[in-house]
Amino acid sequence: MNLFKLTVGTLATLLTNAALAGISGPPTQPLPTEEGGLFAVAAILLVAGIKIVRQKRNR
Amino acid sequence: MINQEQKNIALCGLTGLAVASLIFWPTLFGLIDFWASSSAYQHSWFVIPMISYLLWERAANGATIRLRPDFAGVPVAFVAACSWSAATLMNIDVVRQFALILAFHGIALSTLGRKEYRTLFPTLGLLFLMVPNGDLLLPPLRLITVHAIELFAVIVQLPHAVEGYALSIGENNYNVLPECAGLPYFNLAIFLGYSFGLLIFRSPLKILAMILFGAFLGILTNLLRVIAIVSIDGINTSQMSLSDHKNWQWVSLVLTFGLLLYALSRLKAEPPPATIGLAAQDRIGAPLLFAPVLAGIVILTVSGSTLWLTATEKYSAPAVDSASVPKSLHEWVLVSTAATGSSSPRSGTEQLSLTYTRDDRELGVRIFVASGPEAKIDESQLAPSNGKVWLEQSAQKRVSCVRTDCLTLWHVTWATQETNDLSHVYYAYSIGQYTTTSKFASRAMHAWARLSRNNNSLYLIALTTTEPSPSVDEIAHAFRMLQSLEFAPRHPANNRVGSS
Repeated sequence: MNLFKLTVGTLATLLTNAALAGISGPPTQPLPTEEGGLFAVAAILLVAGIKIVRQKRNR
Repeated sequence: MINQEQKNIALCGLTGLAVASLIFWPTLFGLIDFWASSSAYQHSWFVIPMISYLLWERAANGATIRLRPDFAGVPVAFVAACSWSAATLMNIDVVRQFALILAFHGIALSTLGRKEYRTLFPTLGLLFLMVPNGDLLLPPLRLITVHAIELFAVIVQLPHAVEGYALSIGENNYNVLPECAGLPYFNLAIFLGYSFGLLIFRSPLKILAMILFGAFLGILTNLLRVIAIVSIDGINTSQMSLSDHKNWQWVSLVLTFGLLLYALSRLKAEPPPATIGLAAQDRIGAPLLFAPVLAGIVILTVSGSTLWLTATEKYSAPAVDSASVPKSLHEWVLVSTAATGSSSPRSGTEQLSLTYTRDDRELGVRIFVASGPEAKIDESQLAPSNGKVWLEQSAQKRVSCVRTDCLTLWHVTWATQETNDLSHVYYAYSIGQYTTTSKFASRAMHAWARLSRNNNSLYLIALTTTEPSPSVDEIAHAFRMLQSLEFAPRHPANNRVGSS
């Protein structure tokens, strides 16, 4: 899997999450990205972990 | 190349999944709402994408999944549906959400077959991290935080005192609130440890070790944060504001999660699953093919029956008969009565507030009555409300016995941070003649009352006093007198759900 696919996958996840949050609650409900940034931290760490493991396997 | 038989099995699996999702959709959407409104469950959004990625990676490495339907998933689906039904009658969301995930596992087992399910179980186990675990984890995490701060004070030889969740370190006073327990870091670290374990290892024991390492890092993140706050307050000889506490989360997050990524980069990756050629397999018989559909039908039948039962349930919205309110409790004399109605007949609660006095001292009584079958009594309303900010200091059970008749009450002490005023709240749940301090037992008894249609109301009696608190025996005596209250139906005729 290349970086392009990884980026597209991450963006698709973010959009899906935003859409799910949008349909599952009242319009004033905060999106997950507003919840203290932990959502963003989880996304960054997960992508970083996947990259580390992929580099390790390709070596 | 996927053959027609495998396509048919996948279609049956998807049908079973669709049936379960259809019957459990309120639970599913409730779960998503929970993630959207709480920082502790932000990792849950990544569970499905992570499972999809792991399955895709597995397929990309040439490991095929051969679906072999199995009736072993049907009992799992049955247990899930029964758990969901019991949780629906007891109004316990977290059990309903756990049952939903268990139902998905039942359908996965009936679709994949035992061998493939066993292979994929570590990956599918990630689904359980979607269930909110705060009720279970917050109390121990809070205690760990209190003891860690106490240990730190002992090590650096700071004068300190601990009472429940309240600590005084040197000149500064702290209260370890549920928000200070570090649940978001713990959950995030467990999820990352589990995900990284699945990425790098195949051995279940090594994956488990990664989960435990993640849990350790999650606790460490919060402890570093609180110890940094206490240390800086000690150096500055003043307490930083609560909003500044959050800034320290980023420092500890960078340190501990940096450690997790470093550990990941140093670990040796196990080889991916071996490529398996598609061997000739026996044809799967038609009855076995429908195992996942049968699992879905079992869920539909059991849970659908519960839904029908609750939808046709008759109940009377109760109200305390004001004529039965005691005019005095031992030496305490009633001076005022106020009632607050419920906005929702099915899920709201009625509240009756009474004030008794003795020698210029007040004893407040609040009675919360679950007015409908789905009503939940909100214990957070027990906090004193006189314009000050009150923090829960400690919660203990107190027992008072008259000969062989013993009564156990929760004793929660609340304190104001500025003036250190104390307020004592004693409470227990009752339904009919049964009294308990256990929220779970009260919900179970309420569910039983619903099933047996005896129309007993669930209520909570709370007595509030200021310092110095009367003895527990005196409080228990007043509690017993209040239990003689009579409940009358608010509406003379029995209500059918949705008709009032």
